[in-house]
Amino acid sequence: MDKLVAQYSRPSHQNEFYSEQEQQDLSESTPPLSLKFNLPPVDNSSAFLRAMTDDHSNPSCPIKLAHGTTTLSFRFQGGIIVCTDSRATAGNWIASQTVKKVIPVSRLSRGEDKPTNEPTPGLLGTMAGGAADCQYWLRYLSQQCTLHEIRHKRRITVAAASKILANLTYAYKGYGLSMGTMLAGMTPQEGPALYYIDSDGTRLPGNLFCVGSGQTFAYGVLDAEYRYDLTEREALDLGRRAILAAMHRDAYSGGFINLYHVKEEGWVHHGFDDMNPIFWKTKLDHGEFSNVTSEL
Amino acid sequence: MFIARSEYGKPHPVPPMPLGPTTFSPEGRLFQVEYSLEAIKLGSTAIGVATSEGVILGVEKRVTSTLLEASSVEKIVEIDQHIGCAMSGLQADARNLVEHARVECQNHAFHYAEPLRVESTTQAICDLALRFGESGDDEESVMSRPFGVALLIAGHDEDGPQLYVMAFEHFHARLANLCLPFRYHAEPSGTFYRYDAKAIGSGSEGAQAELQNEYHRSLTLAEAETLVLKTLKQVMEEKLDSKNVQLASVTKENGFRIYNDEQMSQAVAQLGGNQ
Amino acid sequence: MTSLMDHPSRGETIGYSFSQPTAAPVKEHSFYPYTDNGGSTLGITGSDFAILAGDTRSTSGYNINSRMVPKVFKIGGDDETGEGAHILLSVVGFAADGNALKERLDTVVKMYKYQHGKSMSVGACAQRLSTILYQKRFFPYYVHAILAGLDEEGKGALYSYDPVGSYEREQCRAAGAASSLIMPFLDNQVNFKNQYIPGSGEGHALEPKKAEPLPQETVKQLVRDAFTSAVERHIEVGDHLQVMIITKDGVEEVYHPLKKD
Repeated sequence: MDKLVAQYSRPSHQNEFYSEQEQQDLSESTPPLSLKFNLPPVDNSSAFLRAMTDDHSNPSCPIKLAHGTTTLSFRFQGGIIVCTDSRATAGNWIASQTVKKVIPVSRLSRGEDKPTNEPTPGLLGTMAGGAADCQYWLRYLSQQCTLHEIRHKRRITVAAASKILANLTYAYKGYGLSMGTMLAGMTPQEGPALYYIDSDGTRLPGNLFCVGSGQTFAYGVLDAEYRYDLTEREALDLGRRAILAAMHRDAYSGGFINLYHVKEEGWVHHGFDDMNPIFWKTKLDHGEFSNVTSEL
Repeated sequence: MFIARSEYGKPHPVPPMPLGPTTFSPEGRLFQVEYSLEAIKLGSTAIGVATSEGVILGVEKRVTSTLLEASSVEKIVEIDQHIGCAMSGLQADARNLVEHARVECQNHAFHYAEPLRVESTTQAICDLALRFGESGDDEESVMSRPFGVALLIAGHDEDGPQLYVMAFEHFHARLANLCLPFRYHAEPSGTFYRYDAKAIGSGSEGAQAELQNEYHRSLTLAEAETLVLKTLKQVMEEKLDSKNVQLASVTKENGFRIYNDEQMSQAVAQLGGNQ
Repeated sequence: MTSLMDHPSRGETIGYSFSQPTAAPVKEHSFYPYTDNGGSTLGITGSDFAILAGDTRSTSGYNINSRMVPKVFKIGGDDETGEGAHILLSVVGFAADGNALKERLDTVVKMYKYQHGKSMSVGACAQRLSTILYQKRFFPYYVHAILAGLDEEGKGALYSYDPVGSYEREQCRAAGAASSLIMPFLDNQVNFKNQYIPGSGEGHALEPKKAEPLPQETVKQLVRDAFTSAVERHIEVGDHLQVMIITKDGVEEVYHPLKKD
């Protein structure tokens, strides 16, 4: 109670100026990568955050979270396939149909990705959960990996990179981060390596993961057809087909199919394609989705 | 880890009296700074030459024993993809500065999605170099003495290939500016300078004279490579070979590249052929 | 905030921290630092320009508090008037947070110019705005921001943000109260969603109409139509339409009247 009184008995002019920290941030030539975040002036900041942003516990929350996603990744003899949908929803509202849910974890100063058929060195991360959380922390991870590469003159292993991220999410446990991400990469030491990391601090190596609201549908397809010795063509088709199934049955997944292949030399992008024509092609040419009729 | 809000209630403590390296002697000299200059004068020679195609850095490795593994002598290092750095003086000190520069570059890339400019990188290094002897209130401990190292910083950005020097004489000047405001006129331009070609370290006087004679603006990268090796050869005590020198280049296309053994042998053979 | 996680209704089966079952009813909170000030913003890009627009009504609940509170700002200009600015920012949501955000970004862009001796590119500014927003991840700015400018090739660039800094470059974006009214209109009129080339085929063979950059006059008209229509159907939108157009020649600002009811 004293604490509460103290909270509101501070002279109100105290917040008129930038805090020392803020002044420093503004005047630094390059802002430090600060792990210091603003916290609300309340005792239980995660409860506050939940009340403001979590429309599950509070349907009338002012800052609407969007939900829903399907991402998948699996190891096979030719590397790793990473495939996602592209929809972001806030309640029933589709906030975006063009989200890039595969985030390259590579040298930051390379600048914007130019479209290329050459493999790009580095790891791939996927995005499920808070878009900002994933974008920010995978970017942070890119920075750490780049520093590792410069300091040690060789690329970081996927095991080490995933551990950086897992340590981070574990340190922020309870603060309200929300992310479920897969890290895929191929290094000389490890071969194809795949890890699942989430905001609870989980870190799991594995052959095959699906994450998000459509994960069960994707698992259904993937578990039925998956073999380690798939050819590259088969693996790409399987990734695409599993995401398609999830987009079809999960209302919170949809938009475009974003497909990547991770190889020894780096990753290759295999398209960001509208699901609609792919769906009809799958149905009409292969006779799948036969419960859907093309006529009324 | 988190800062909820700043502590305004706290009275500002009286700043502590400056001590040690930032205290003048009765004659008005800063001994620690002057000693640091001596440390740098003992350093191995390092040379940088900027051309329109890119920048070449070269250092002598001072392989003092046949038992010394030459590849473990590391006097040219990467700061970021587009920036490299050659050092002369206390290498342990340089590591400190280089690590700072690396982090600054990555922080900039993190926040601005673009590489840090070469000049800004140099500025960041110089900012750290000045932070000796400070004992900030809640700051972590800083260097207790000036850095005993000079750096050649080569990079490429939107302004083209550039070579900067964070060398002792300029460093000294900056310190003078800081401590003696009335001498400001002596060094209005700041701490670091941009050079077309510059040598630092023990052989720097002879080397700089040679560069002065030989440098011209239309040098190609290959010519610059030869010029660096030729100049090093003149000032080195040992006979120059592919093991006791190291070259590196910074170009627009390839960014910072350290020469590997094969490229080193080629470059040295080229030099032999020219003379 | 845009999150792409499993939907709460299925949260029990998958769930990481945020979707922990919270059976207890929501507690009333004494600390409620946000007000929704209503209004809407809209941005569209073209091949050599970008337009950012917003209405100027400020509401709180059912009260209209002011009819002239602009939501679009020039960033990094020389003085109060924003002369010389080459980046635009629109903020909608809680106006106080929006203002704080604008001030902060403006300061950062100005400091950048002094420290690096060049003006900030819109791409760099976009990334920086994202990290500024994320800095308040646990006490978010209640704003939907849109950033506009010209990229290195001189093309219009538009970046849209969620309250905690996730961002994406887009051709067009509507934010705020009437975004759900305006966005479908833009999908159809700017990105030509669900428009097909007549006679290009039958059924699934119909070829979709390809989106291409629109001329400035068309875009200006689209912006005005979007807002006049939104005003008809949303109580928090109205009074004036503020439009800023950024081209290689600078920023042009115009106001159009909207209905005042």
